[in-house]
Amino acid sequence: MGEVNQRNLKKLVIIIAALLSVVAITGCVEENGTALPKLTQTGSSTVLPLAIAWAEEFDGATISVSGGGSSHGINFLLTGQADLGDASRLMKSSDYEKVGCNGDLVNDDGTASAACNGVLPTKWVIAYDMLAVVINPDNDWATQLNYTQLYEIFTDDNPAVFWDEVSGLNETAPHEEIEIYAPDEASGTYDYFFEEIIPNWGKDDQQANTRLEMEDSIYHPSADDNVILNAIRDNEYAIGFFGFAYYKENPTAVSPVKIADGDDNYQEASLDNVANYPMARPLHIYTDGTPESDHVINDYLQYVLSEDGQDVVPLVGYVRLSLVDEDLITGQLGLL
Amino acid sequence: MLGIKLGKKPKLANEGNPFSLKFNFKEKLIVVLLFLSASIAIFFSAAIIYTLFDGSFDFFSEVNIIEFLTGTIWVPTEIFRAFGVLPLLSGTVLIAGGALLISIPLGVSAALFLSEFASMRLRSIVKPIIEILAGIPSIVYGFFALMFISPIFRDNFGASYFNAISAIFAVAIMIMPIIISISDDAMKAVPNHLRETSLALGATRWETSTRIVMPAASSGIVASILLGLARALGETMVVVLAAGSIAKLTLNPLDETMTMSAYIAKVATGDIPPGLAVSAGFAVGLLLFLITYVINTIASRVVIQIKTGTTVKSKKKQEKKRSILFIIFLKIKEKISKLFIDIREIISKIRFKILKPRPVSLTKRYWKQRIGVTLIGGSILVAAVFLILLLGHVISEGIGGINSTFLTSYPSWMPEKAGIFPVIMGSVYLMGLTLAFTAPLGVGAAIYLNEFAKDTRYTRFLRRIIQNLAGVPSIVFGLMGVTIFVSLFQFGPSLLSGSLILTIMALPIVVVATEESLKSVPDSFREAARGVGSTRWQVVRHHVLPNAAPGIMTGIILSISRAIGETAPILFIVSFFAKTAPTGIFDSFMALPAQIFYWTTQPKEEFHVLAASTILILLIILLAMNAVAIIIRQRAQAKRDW
Repeated sequence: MGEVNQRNLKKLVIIIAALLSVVAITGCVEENGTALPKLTQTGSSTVLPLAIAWAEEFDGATISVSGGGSSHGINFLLTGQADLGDASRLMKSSDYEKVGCNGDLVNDDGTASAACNGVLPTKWVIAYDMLAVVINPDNDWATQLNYTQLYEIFTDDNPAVFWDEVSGLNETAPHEEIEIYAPDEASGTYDYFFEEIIPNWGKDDQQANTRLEMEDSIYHPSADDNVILNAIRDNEYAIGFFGFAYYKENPTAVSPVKIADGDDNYQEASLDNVANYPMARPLHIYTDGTPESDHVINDYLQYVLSEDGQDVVPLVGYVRLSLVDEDLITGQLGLL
Repeated sequence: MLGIKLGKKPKLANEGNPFSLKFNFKEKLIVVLLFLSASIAIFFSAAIIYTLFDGSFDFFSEVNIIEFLTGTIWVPTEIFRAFGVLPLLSGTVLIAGGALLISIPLGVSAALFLSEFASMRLRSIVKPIIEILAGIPSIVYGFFALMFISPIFRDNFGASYFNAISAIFAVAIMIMPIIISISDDAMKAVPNHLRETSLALGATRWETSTRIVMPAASSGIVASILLGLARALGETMVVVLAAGSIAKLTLNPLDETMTMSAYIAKVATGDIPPGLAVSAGFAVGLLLFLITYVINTIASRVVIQIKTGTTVKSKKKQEKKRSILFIIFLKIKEKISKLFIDIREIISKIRFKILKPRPVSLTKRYWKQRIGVTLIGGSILVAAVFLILLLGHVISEGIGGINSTFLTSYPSWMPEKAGIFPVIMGSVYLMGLTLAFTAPLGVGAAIYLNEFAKDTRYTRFLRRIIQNLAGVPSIVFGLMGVTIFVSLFQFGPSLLSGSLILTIMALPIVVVATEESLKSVPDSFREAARGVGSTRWQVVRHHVLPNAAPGIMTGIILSISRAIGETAPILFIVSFFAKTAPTGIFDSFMALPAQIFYWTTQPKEEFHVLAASTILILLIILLAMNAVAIIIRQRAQAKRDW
């Protein structure tokens, strides 16, 4: 009997050894097959789909991409754990302070005037994100809205409950309750939208809070743009916003609203009009310094800014740089 | 341990042996190594506690703890700064409480049926079903809740897209296996002479099981419920996927809600600005950890009492050893059972007054038994139906997506080109590394605790620490991993960090399983081996371990399969795209459950199909591992000649 049991123990050891050697062998095979350099990219969940698409199309490196948010991306770049940090916002002084560096070194335009822990975060604008404020296709009274009206609908500062309480719509809109379906606080889109319509957003003298924070159950937040889209499609009196990408994929389900950041300079939400449309923002990738010309990160950025790289952008739902400003591409390529 | 104390005369064994010095040195070294592998649990626990306190330090230096615990608004943005945890707590209580409301009656009655009425044949069919339910990863329950349960409530009851009720149902199914298996153990442990006495007095089997067995097993039943509760409180992926992400002070199950664990996950996945909102995640983690710690401590005490039996120690000693928590538990239990007795008395008094007292006919009592047994048997059916629905839904959604492209390609951004080959490899490597860490550490720790350790304060401390590790909510491991392995040790978001996190999760299960199979080796084996002059290590190496090997292997495989299905602990560090599998331990990695999560949260319908197909692959891998474990166990049992 002892022999049998000895064999059992040996079996255990053999199984474990076999499993480990499978791991080791497949690992070696992989290594022989691909001699490409490896890059780690992490950050904004807004940039994530675009980063994934580029990582797939770019042939010069094996890039692994993860999400986690803009802060996470900048933090991992600053601590040397990522080569590329994605951000849908500009770097702030708090990003520097979090890793023990002097926040004053961060400029207002999201660049840094000196390195932090040996890392000099360098900003690259790689595409534009565009918000679409959307309504039900049957809604014929709110096809164009200015920032004042959006402020009345989306903030807690004397908010409109019924559509005909919105200034300028008193005559044309029905006496029906407004329902808001829009992203929740976790999304960068939420931040971006309210940064646009609430004066001094994020500062001490911020003029109002969002209607979501008011908790009057008119603002239905969701992390899923699909939910927002479906809710607005099914509700004539609903309004909401999300990335232009989702509108573009479902152009008939909802209609986009023309937006004016002044009083009556209404701009159509379309890719051709992105330069004039007020709710469009740049998306960034941060790198450590400007990469040397023979470095793979340099190749990557060149690819991202190239015609091929930019062709991917509209497919993911964002806006290519050339539609906003041709100089952005030539200027940044000049640095590389 | 029965019989001879093995540690008394170690010198005798080697006396006159020319190699004694060498042997002794080797043995000492081995024992030291075993001791160290047991003690590493202390390091892991300290790391968790350091993470939670260090992470929430910034938070509590700016936010008053009273404000945190009593505030009713949770808007953790830098500007609004409302850090009242009550909305998160209410969401957590709503989901866990709702799940308990469903799973207590179903779970306890299923256990009663299994323990008292089911035939051996039925048991052998039902037990695997319950084991499969217990082995399904929580991400799969989350997918099921969002894609299958939620639409039912949305279409018929006007629930919002994300809603608590779908999460409640999914969590209820998740914790049912815990309640069933522990309650079943507790009822099985009730001495048979109680049943026989009751039957001899003329009680029906139904009356015996409800009035004798259940009250006698009440401690164990309550403990099983507490363990289920702790699991439900810490559950992350189901809630993140199905319940939504808005912290609302509401108990309306049709509404969207956010739990404590979901907020921590949001810190890992969302665009949360740096600063207080992030350290708030650690503060919430600390609170969640403390709550589950208290519940688990109470419950595991009771479970241990059931397993070891309480009659061994003298009553005085026992009294002394009872901690305050346990006394509180007993008080609560007493109160509850007193309440039940009071209610029953009141009811019977009323019955006595209204109806004339007359003996209940035997036919009526047997009818009662028939109805009762049918009802509790039905609860088993409910579990089976849930399993069939879940598997059916996943298979019908995902089977079409499995083809050669899917199995050989990488997770492309274009769904029609996407596959999971490097993701599978990522999970396989993760599994291999976790195995390489867990097997020696876990088996070593168990050998030390069971074969070498004396019953000292330190040993008891070690045992308690290992037990507590098993109860830590999985998302807290995620926080700990990113703080300790990724940042402090500079391992980065790598395969190594991921497998270390999973190692800590798998370790307690391996230790418990190994200890159990070591205990199953009769002491006479050890005594005989010692009697012919083996050293203590030789006894373990040549006689105990070989006989315990099948049980140890089963335990290792099951714990690894559990770890590999986890999403929440690696959510902070896992990648969602890479063309190739990792080639070194410091490479970043993808993993099957995380890929399911990513694809489920994508807006495009095609990605949901990919998620379902990935679930199928994951389930096939897990079921295969479980099958191997079961085969090893059964073959060993068949071969066993003692």
